[in-house]
Amino acid sequence: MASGMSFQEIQKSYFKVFLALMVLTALTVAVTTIHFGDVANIVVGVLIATAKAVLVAYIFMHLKFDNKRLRYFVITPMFFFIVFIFALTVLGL
Amino acid sequence: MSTATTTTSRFNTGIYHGKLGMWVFLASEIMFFAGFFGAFIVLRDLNIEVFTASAHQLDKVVATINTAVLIGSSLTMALSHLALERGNEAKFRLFLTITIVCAFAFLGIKSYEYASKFSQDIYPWTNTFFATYFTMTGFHALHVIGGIIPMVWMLGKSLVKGYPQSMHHRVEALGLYWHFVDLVWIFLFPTLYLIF
Repeated sequence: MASGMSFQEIQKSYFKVFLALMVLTALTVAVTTIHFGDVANIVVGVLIATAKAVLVAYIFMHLKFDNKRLRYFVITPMFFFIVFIFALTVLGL
Repeated sequence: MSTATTTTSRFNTGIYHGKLGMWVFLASEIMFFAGFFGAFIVLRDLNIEVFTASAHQLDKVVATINTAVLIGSSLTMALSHLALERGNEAKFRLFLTITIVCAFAFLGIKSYEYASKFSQDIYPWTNTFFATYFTMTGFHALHVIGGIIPMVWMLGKSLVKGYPQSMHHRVEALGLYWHFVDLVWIFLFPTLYLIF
């Protein structure tokens, strides 16, 4: 792994990400008991899911350690995905 | 065919071809699931009462447990690749076995959820919410099964012939796929169970 991190450090980061994912899962379930408003609840849910997704992609899927150019393989489809979802929700197309 | 390009980093991309191929596939998978999420948004807008009432019939507790199981399997998958990369095949097998067990546990819990819905006379054709629910979770479950097959194959190969450290790239590529399956669930979980 061309990251300059030792195996111990990588292993430690995996466990930290796992813990963070568990905490965020508990959080996303806990906030459903609070009513922020229909749209706000969706936004909170999506934000927490996105935070979890970034952690998984960055550490578990090695994007942090790999060649930075690889990130365009995520950014490109995510761009179209967000445009698509934005058109359906905010623009109501 | 020479396998050199599949296991060595290319000078122009900095990554080996197997990983690049997996990322291209995952990019297409993002768009595949985008279709489902798009359909979900449109149908929800048109049938908001049906969606709200139906989503409340889903079992949040079971789904939360399943989320934890799948996230745990992602951790062990990452650890199993790390172990093989380090040349520790025994640990690679151990973590891969835990991953497989978690994957089956996920499918088992999902089957229990499906079965309890069927016993309440809820089927994919009951209404548009359950049609999208069964389609999305069903395709996700198919992806889980699609991950179990190469995992079992790798475990079997390791037990029979040994899995060489030099082939850890294959485990990494499978790991990428497995983490993606976890990612899809991370978005499916709040979408189907929590936002209503």
